[in-house]
Amino acid sequence: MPEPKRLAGQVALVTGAGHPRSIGWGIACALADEGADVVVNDVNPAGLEDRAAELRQRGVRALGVQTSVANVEQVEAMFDQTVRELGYIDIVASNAGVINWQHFLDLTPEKLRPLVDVNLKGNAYVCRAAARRMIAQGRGGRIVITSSVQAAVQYPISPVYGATKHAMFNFVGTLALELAPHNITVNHIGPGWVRSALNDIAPGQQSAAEIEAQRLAIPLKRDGLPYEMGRAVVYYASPDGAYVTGTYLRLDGGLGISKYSE
Amino acid sequence: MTSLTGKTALIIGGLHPLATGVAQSLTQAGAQVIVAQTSININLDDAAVLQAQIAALPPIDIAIISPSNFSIKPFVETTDADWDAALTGNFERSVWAAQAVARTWVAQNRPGSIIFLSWVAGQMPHVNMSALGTSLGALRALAKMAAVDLGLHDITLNVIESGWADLEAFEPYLHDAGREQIKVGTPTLRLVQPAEVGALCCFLASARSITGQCLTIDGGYALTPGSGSTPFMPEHI
Repeated sequence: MPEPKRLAGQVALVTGAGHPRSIGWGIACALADEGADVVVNDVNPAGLEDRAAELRQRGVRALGVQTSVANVEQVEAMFDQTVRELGYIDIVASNAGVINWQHFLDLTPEKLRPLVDVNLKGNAYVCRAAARRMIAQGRGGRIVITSSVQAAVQYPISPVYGATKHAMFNFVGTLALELAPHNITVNHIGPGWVRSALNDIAPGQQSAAEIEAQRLAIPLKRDGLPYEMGRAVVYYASPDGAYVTGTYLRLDGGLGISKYSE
Repeated sequence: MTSLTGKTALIIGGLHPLATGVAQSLTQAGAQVIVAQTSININLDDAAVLQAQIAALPPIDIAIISPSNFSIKPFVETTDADWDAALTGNFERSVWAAQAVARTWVAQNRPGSIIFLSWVAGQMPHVNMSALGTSLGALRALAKMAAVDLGLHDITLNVIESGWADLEAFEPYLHDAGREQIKVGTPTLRLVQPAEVGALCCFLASARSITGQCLTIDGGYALTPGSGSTPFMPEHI
């Protein structure tokens, strides 16, 4: 007898889920596999309709919505569309994020701007839109933000990225406290080195040897899979996670605790 | 008290009267103190202009940079402007100020000490302080990685996170009931005095092997869990 789907009847929205090799797509698939209807969002429209069609093949309702999370009007419209077409918003995976690399002394406003706009303001806009609607609905909610292993351990090559991820401790903690009276839980996950498009080799940034050295620095000796990140979001969104709020779950094969590894 | 005779300190940012108290402590320790808000005109919103302004100053040894925005509001009521103000006032301006100072010292082959003068919301979530806490949390993390890069230039960068003090920014919380609740939630049963923070600044300014650290000076406030089911609220909320 098949196991009952734990998120059946719930409506989820996942930002940054348009690329087939993204953590967001892994989250969307994991939520759909547990029966949630899913809105997949991305700033890049390419493939969004394909993603939505693939989710429908998993037996759930799905929408593809192009939005920049850094644009508050677009974010509000996306949530309006979600509620209008799917009825509710119960689960939000605020996953969209960007990264760039430069040392502190080389940092420029052009490098800082997208990280602050997407990783900080984008999360604020998405979670605020979600929270307001969840409160109005009166049936609780689940918000899971994708931060990073860099929330806990920062790297000198990406000081602003690390800063925007560490700030999620404050952001998530505050939201968890303020939204608890409405039975809305708020948590964040910290992916490490995940086999996603975001972590494709940046030209000129790392050699193949450096990439291999990075893999060997992970205690479990492999990169993570987007779907594994999705399973953690399922935990937080499911009844198993009903008493869990304000927490951080590092999903990194041990990378965040390993200055040196075997 | 640590001696800072012969040193020059630049103070940039808000947190009055905390910055004023820090300035007094630095002066008592023998440092010459330049307070940016009152003595010189600097532009914290234009990184290139700021770099030129800092480079044109007389040689400085110590830079104390503090946040300027203290947005206090329920999360669902925060506006886009609130987020802009908090992130700009607390994170971005502090980043450009520290970078401008550090680049100047590197160019001059000059050691120095940078201190972000922040607040305990950077490490501990507070109801109604989502924008404030997020901006200060970002700042404390960036400070650590900037310190890693600046170490080889003999430049230290640390963060002081102060607890509750008699600050204009926290006036909404410092009504009688709020003061009492803060005191009860603080092991030392009192507010932090600006001179105490000033003394810590003086010590960090001279401690050449302490860098990338966040030092909390709050009477133990961040150690203790909240008591009771209702958090203290400012009078206007």
